Parts: sequence; structure tokens; C-alpha cells
Amino acid sequence: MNKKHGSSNNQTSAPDVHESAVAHVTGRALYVDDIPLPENALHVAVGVSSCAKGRLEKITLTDVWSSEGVVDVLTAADIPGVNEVGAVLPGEPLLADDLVEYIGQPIFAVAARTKELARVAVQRAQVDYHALEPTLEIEQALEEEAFVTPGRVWGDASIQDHLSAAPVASHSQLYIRGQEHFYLEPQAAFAMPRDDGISIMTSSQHLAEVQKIIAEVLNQPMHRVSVECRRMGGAFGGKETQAAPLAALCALFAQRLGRAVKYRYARKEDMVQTGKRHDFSAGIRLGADEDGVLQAADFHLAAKCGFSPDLSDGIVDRAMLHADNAYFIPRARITGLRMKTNTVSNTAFRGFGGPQGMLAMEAAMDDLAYRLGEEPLVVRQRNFYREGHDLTPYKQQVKQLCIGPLVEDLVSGSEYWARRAAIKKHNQGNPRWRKGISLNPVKFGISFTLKHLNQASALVHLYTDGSIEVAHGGTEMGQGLYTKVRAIVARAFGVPVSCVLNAATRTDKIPNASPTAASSGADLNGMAALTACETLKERLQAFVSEQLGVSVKASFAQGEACFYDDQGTLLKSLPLGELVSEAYVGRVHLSATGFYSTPDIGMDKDVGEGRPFYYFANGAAVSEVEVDTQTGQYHVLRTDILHDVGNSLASGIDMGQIEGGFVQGMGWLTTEELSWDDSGKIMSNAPSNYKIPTAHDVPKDFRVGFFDSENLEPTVHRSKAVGEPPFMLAISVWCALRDACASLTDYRTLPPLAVPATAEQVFHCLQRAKKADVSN
Amino acid sequence: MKQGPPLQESDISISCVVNDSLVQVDQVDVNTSVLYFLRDHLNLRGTKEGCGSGDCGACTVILSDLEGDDPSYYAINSCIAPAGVLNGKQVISVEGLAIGETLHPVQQAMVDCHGSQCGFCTPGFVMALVDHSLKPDVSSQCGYADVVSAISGNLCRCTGYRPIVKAGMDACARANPKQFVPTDDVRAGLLSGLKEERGEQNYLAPDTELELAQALANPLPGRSRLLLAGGTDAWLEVTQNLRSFDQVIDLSKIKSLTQIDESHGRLAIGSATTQTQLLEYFDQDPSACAHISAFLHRFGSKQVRNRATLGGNLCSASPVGDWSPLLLALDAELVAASLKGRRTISIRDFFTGYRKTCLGADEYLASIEFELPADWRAVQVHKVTKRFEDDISSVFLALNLHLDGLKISGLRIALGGMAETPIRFFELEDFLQGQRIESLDWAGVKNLIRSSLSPISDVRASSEYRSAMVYQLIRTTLLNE
Repeated sequence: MNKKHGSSNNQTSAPDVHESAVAHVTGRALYVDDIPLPENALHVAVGVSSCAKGRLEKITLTDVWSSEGVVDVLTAADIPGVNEVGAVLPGEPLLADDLVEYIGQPIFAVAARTKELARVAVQRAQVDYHALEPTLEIEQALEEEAFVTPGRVWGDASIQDHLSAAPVASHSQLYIRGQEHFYLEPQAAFAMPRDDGISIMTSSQHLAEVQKIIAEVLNQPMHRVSVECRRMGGAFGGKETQAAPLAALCALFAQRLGRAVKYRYARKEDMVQTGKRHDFSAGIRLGADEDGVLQAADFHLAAKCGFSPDLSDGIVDRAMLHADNAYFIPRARITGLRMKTNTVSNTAFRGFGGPQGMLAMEAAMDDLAYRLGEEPLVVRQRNFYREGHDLTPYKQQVKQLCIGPLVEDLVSGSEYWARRAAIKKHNQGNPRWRKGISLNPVKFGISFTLKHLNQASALVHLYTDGSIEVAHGGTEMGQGLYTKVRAIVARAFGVPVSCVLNAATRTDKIPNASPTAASSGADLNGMAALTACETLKERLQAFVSEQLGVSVKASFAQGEACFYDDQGTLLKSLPLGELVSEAYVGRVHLSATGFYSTPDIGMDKDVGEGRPFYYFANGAAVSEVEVDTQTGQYHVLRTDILHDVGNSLASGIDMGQIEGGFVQGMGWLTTEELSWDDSGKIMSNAPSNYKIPTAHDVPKDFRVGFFDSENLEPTVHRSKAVGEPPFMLAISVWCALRDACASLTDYRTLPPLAVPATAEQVFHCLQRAKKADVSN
Repeated sequence: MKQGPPLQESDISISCVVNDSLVQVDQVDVNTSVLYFLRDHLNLRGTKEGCGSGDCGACTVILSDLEGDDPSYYAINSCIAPAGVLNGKQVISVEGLAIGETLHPVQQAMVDCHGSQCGFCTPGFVMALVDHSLKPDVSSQCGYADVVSAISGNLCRCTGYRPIVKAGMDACARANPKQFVPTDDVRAGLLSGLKEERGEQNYLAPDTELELAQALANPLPGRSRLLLAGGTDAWLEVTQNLRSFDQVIDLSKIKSLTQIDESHGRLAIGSATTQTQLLEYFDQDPSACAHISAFLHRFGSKQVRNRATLGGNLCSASPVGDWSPLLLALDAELVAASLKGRRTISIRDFFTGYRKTCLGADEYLASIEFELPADWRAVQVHKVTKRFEDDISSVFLALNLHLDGLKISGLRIALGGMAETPIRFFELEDFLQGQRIESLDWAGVKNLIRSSLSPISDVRASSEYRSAMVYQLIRTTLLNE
């Protein structure tokens, strides 16, 4: 590894080290909030609804206007264009007009000299509501049939008959709570007026949408709005749609006042005003034969979407598409409902509904195993997708059947069965400290289920000194996309990564880019960049052929461009920079775009059949936990992970995605507990009452490896997407906790365990286990 | 000569060393935090705000009081420290670590170990690890648990921490502990600069208790003031509740309030003694004080412990302040002082309501005193939280137990997190007094808990769980289960 780093170039020069690592550790990496402001710049805050559902009767802003430092105040009536910031589907006003639909919904906005003055000013409004009865929970919304978009039912209408016919039946019910993103950088945006439009800096995963929304809000053509994002301080889906309102308000004020305007949420504002992972209420009926081999399944998934559609339609689709997880189910029916509640509109979060669908199935598989009196792992293994049993409920063939061998490797590598036996023995002799273990598979479909998003463009420039710039529509949120694309471009031209700069993502460089989401960033943008590189290489080859008067074949390696004739004789070799200089003089076009769209995908969502995914990423994890049966407090002793990234594009980056995804998933299922009061006000609104994992919570013994297999599909260098899939490996922690509780029944019954499994919830589970044991 | 705008009513001037340079800035609003002093006044934007409440560590910087030739260093959360704290001190920010093109060993290890992803928390982690590298005994403190403890106040949402811990284990012992000691010239410049300080009335940091008492007895008419020691709770009034004050009175410089005195079997702890000082005190005898020490290691985070004081923990009168039940179980006495003199208040009488104490407006808490237990092992504490590190107690139980054989000869039980104020559980003490451990009436204990306590249900825990924990933890302690 090259360890030379220079301050003049903040980018690192090792291919698998994050391109911004040096900038990160020195504090030189700039985020939106760090950009120096002009002297007269203003800061935004919004006044929000304190009523979960109601009509706005009267808004009195006199004291807001007179508050110190206030320069401008906006309500819905002041919006020159469309008062709408909904993604994909409408239904989300920038500022509430007439109706408020959740506590925390913006009603008016203030621009003031400092952010502190803006925040103080918005508290001085007097807002009168005509309160209406709010819908706050999934159950209530189901009773009221309140949906944000219509539900879908896929699969076998006669499922009940198949379930009844199955020798063994098992029913599971699970309420799965959501999750706060808690990206470390709160949402932020900055607008600078220009004579020909407006420039926006945003911390967003979807710049084209920010641009489009701003254009619509301002009533301006899109070409007058340019949007840039160099990096985000974490996003995880939380900046896919949630960044747009801040940017739109900055743009509005900037256009009205002709001044630079910044809006950065305080942490509490962020936790109140932005959507989270969806709660799901899941019911699963499984029918199996006496060996636990699945014959039929009926899934009922209802999501708490909040007040507007946002991305919920796709999120529930993905939950439905992952209810099978890694198991072949001959006959299935899957119902997915999008419930409307008077809470903040829930949104994308790493896994996008997949984790909820998968967790429900994993809980159901444990229930089935207990029903049979079998080891859960054995029942799981009997049901994996395998030769002849490779069709998903939505009729996509699972072509690469790696989950079986992957799990076999993990079982032996983690010494699962020996540890299982040791744990049972330990538990017999330890009334207080009980251990649990679980192995859970993950199969995650890769591609946006909204087909048209599966496209990307890139732009590659060759400069005469041999340096290369690549730009693409993907955004950098820490996941290492720029590092991977840089490595792809460097490899294409056979130069060190230090020769390649991945430029900040901008809408005026790459138009109409898809959100960086669905784990697709490297697949799409990496391939687009590679295509652009191939175009440039062909041009250079044609140029040298013409120069030498013979047809040559080019090879780019170790900083040199080499040209060979048909016999393989080397005719010309020179450093890339010299070649580019020659080509420039030879009037060759040294900039190329590349475009990629994922082939062979698409599904009929009304019927629930097709090929929504280009391929699947796979993984499995074994977690072992220790529970204090007196208090319910616990820790994770050891986790072993084997994960399938295909041919890794950057092993250090991929390892970070796996470990980080696992720990984030563990937070979702353990200590991170969202809570609302009876009026619909969120109570978990600060890091003092919403607890994401710290270093102490990470398994002390943490063994992570790559499963050695390349992608069957021709993705970029046969790699696989890695952003979301590892998140769900954490299901093993939740299942292991439940296993530890079940030890109190001597493994006869499996007591219900809530999600998240806080110490309190584990305590309740233990109490249930004790009661079940008495009744046995 | 530069002529700035006139001094605002709440402006102060700051003279300090920032990294290796002397910095003097006038016209800093007294409500400015160290974080925004660095970011807005000095354009040092490497230090980040992740939460503004001292919970995430992204804003971690290192301070030194610059005492002696070999000054000591400690990490703090810059978001909840007033800028006025910096006067006469040195602050090290992430910009001050690399020497020219050469990264600090911690920075280099973070790069090599893939310790950053989005990078936003990274400066804070780097500072927490560099702080660890400056500890005198660092070479023996680079194990997994040591490094995990050193970053207990820092949140990362991307990496899963393993690479950061590895970076710390690899690098902390390889740093130069003297790297940040300022030159004599800079120190001399600082001393002369401090003499010209303006606006010191707005950020009053008295050296003596007398000055403090005088200031409290003579409030500036019509001007709001905030009294703080470490400010880890008090300063949230500014950052979270958006209040602004005309005057801040900082009592952390008063030497007599920062002492721990042990004499005649009594311990007297100055109210401005930090949690870090207390941790060091109890760590002197780790076997005897294992319970207290373990609890203090989980008190806030390192950055919080370096600023938070014992007096602050009591005077904020929070129902979840962990020291209150412990001191109730020790039956501590609190010494309040003012120009009128000193008075002793039993801790039982100190808390008068939710976030209310019996201190008068002109009074300050001077010291906390109690009889040293013959054996600290008699004093047990249990902290139940959602997350192990840096979390507010759902239930905090302190139990001071004396046994005569198997008979309970003396018992004090105190609870935090159960009600509006910390409470002594007299009913249960009376019930258990004189009983024999092996024949306790546990059903009676359960009933008494049910009838005497009505704990709150909130974001941290349900009433039911809190009651269950009180029962369980008392049982665990008495039966030594």
C-alpha cells in the first residue's frame, strides 16, 4: 500500500482507501455547513405544527417579523410556483396550506441574520388550529382504511387451501418498529443567487430531484437551477427525498432577497421533521411438511407510511419482494398495505423495506422450527433456494444459487454446531446468564424496482498532463462510491488512482441522474464511467492507428499506453499524458460520456411477477449473545459473517460497508427505540433519548469474510452491490436474543420478542418464557 | 489601528492559544460556544456539530490549562462549552495535528485502517484518540477495552467502529506527547494578552469564593445570568433551549471548590470537582471501590466527565442525575455558602421539586461531605440503561448495606429515574431493617415497591419495568445473586 499522502492533494492514493480519507482525518473535507458564507448571508428556520391533524385557522406572524434579526418570512401563499416537494408522487406541501397532517410539519419559514435568531423567531408565532382526530397507528389506519397509495396483493388466491392442506402450520405476528437515520451531518442546504439562476449546495442523494423541485417551487426552468453535492456526512436513505425541502426554502429566500441563504437543521429539528424507517405490522402463515419443508406461505405486511406517499409505495414493494428471504416457497400470497398516519412521512432507509420483510420471515422460520421441535438452522437449510427449487414467489429465477454453499462455509468456519451444544450446556448450569445463538441468511435483490431509475451517465475528461477527471450522477455519502469509480477509471487507463479525480456531483455536468440508492451506485455509475473510458480508449487507438498508418491495438497498464500491431509487435509506447498531448494536437475529442442501463429487468407490479432484480447479493451471519435474565441487559459476544460482494471493487470499502451495515442493523433491532406520545408528538427526538450503538456494543469477537464468488451477471468487473445487504445480517442478533430467552423454557417454546429488543423488551420476553415454562 | 464596532453588552474578548498560535479576539458574544468560536470566529471548520448537546462527540477538541512545563490535556465537547472557558487556555483542534505534510500517527492510522467513511464524525474520533495518546500511561492503555473506553463519547453511524478501535490500538502509543506544548514565546504572549482582557464582567470567572459570593449577592440589574461550573447541563439552556444570557459566571477556576479532602473519616468534595477527578480518586483503590469506579466509567462520556462537576450534577436537580441517589445512600451533607455565611443542608432536604433545589439566589453549593464508609463494598450502585455507554439511567439504585452476620443492621436505599426528584426509599429501609437475609419477605418487598413507588413511564422505560428493576436489583444485591 502506498502510504505517501500530501496535504496539497487531499485525496488518498491507495486504491481501496477512501478517496477523502486524508481530508476526513485532517478536517479539510468540506460539508455544506462548512462553506464560507458571504457577509450578508441569511439563515432559515421553520415554524412547525403542534397539532397532528387540523385545519389552520389563523397564523399570526407579527411577533415573528419583529423578532431580532428577521429579514423575511414566508408562508405557502408566497410560493411563486408549486407548493409541492413530494418525491415520485405528490402529496407533500413545502409549507402547510390549510391542512396540517403531523406534529412538526412546516407552516412558515423565516430568514434571519443568524441561525440562532431564526430559531428564536419561529417560536414567536401564534397559530390557531381546528383540531381533527388524528390517525396515529397502523391498527387504527387499517380500521379506517387510510392508505397513502393503494395496496397490492400478489400471488396465489387459493393460498388458504394450500395452507390448510399442509401437515404443519405455523402463524407468526410481529410489530417491527422503525429507525431514525442519525446520519452525523444534519440536513443542510445553501443557495447562492446568480444572474442567470441559482446555485445550490445540498447534502442530498438525489440532486436531479432537488433541482426539479426547486424549479417547480420557483416557477423557473430547470436549467436555471444548478445543484451540487461533493459529499454527505452520512445519508443511509435519509437524504434521498428529505433534503429537498431545505434546498427549496433556501432557493425561495435567495430568489426573493438576492442574498445567499443557508438552512441547516439542528439535530432536534432533524429528528422531528424528517421521515424514518417504516414501522411494519407483519403477519405470516407458513405451511410445511413434517420435515419443515415449506409448501405455502401467506404474508400480510402493513407499513406506517406517515402522512404522504413519499417513497412508501416502493418501500412496501421491496418488503413484499423480500418476504421470501432465502427460502423457496412453492405457493405464496403476499399482501402489502401502505397505511396513512398523522406522523412524519416515513422514507428510504438502507434496505428500503427489505429488512422488515426479511425479519418477519426469519422470525416465522424460528417459530416453524419450534413448532416442529427442530433446530432452526436445519429447517432453514432445508428450505434454501437450490437446484430445481429456484423460483421466487414473483417468478424470478434465482440463477446464482450461492446461499446454500455460503451457509455451509459459515457453519463450519464459525463452528456453529459445537458452539450450539456448548451454549445449551452452559445454559443448563447458569440460571442468571443465558446465552443464545442464531445463524441467519440474507438474499437481497439488486436494482431499483422503479425500472427507469436503473440508468446512469458519466463524463470522463482526459487532460494533457495525463490527469483524468470523472464525473457521474452518483453521490458520495461515505459509502465509497467515488473511491470505487476512481479505481475503475484508473484501472481502465492503467494509471495510479492518484491520476484520477472524481469531481463533485453536479446537475449541470450530469443531468437527470437517478438517486444514489438501492445499493446501485457503483453498478450503475461505475459501468457508465467504464463505458466512457472505453470510448476514449477507442478514440486514442484510432488516433494512433492513423498516426502510424497501421491498425493497432492499445493496452493501458502501469501508466503507459502501448500499441501493438496484428502480430503483437510493440509499435509505440508512451506515458498516458504524452499520448493525450499528442492526441490533443491531433485534434482528438478528449472528453466522453458513458451511459449504462441495467438490461433484462422489469416486473408487472399489478400481478407481482417478473424480473425486478438483475441479481441477488447474499450473505449470512452467526451471532452469539449473553443475556442477564435478571434485568434483560445483554451483549453480543461474537459475530461471524460471510458476505458475497462478487469481485470486490475495493476490499477496504466493502469490508466497511459490511461491518458498518451490520452494526447499524444491530442498532435498529436492539437499542434504537422510536417513541411517540398519545398526541402524535415524537418523544425520541435527541441523541440523549435515542441510542445508536457505541463502540462498546460491537461484538468483541467480530469475524468478517468475503464469500469467494464472482457475479454471474456482467456487472462492472463482476462485482456486486454492497450498500444495503449487510444491514440485514443483524437479524442474527435479534434471533439470538430470542434463542437465549427460549432457553428458560428448555427450548420447548419460543416466546415473542418485540422489535427493537431493548433490555426492557428482553426482560418482558424472559418473563413470558418463565410463564410458558411453568405452564408446560 | 483597527477600529472595530463598539463592544456589545454581552460581548467578551478571548485570549488563548489555538493549536500552536496565540489568538486574541474581541467581540465574541458571551453565549458563543467553543465550537462556534472556532468555526465562525477563526474559520476553523474541521470541528463539526453533530448534535449540539454533547452526545455525539463530533465537536471534540482538546484543552490544556497550561499549568507547568508539562501541561496536561483533556478532551471536551466544544458544543457545550462556553467560549469564555478558553481564556488563558490552549485549545487543540483537528487542524493542529498534522505537522506540515506529515499526518499525526492517529490520523495516519485512521486512514490506513479505513477508519472514516462519511468523515463527519472523524475529526471528533481523531481528537478523542489523540487525547488518549496524551495520557501519561498510554503505553499500557492501548488494549481493545481501553480504546473503546477512550471513544465512548463518540458516535459513528458508518463504520461499525472496529477500524476506529484498531486505529487507536495501533497508533495511540506512537504519538509524541509533547507535540502540542506551546513555545515560551507563545505562552508569554498569552500572559500579556490576558492583562488587556475586556468584557470580563460578562464572563466572570472568579478566582475565590469571596468574589463569587459578592457577584451572586450583587446581580447586575436587568441582566440575565447563568451560573455554571462545567456547563455540560447548564449550557444546554443556550444550545437547546435557545436562551441567551447577558452574563455567565464560571466557578471552575476557584481552587477551593475543586479539592477532594479526606480527613477524620470524612470526605469533603468541592462542588466544582470534575467527574474525571472523582474517577481518579476512586480508581486509587480499584478493588474496594469497584462499584463506584465502574459507575463513574459509565457517567456521561470522557468528554463530559472532563467538564461535568459533582456540584453541577446536584444543582441541576435532575431526577436522572446519578450522583444524587448515591449521595442519598451515603446520607451526605451539602455545604451552601453566600456572603451571609455557610449552612449545612442534608441531601434529603436539598431537592425541592423537578429541577429545583433549596439554594437561595445568592447562594452557591460549596462542598459535598459524607462519612467515609468503613468499606466501600457496602455501597453498591446499579445503573440500568438502554445503551451501556453514555446513557441516562432508566433506573439508578444506590444501596448502602450493613450486615451483622446475616442480619441487616443498617440500610439506606436511594433511587434515581423514578420520580420528579431523586428519592430515599425509607419505607423499604424500615421494612428490611433488622431482618435476616435468608428469610426476607420478598412478596412483602414487591408489594411495598408497588404501593410506595409510582415510577414514570417515558421514552427510556415503562413504569412496570422500572418497578421490576428496583425489586430485582435489590434482590440481586441482598442475596448476592
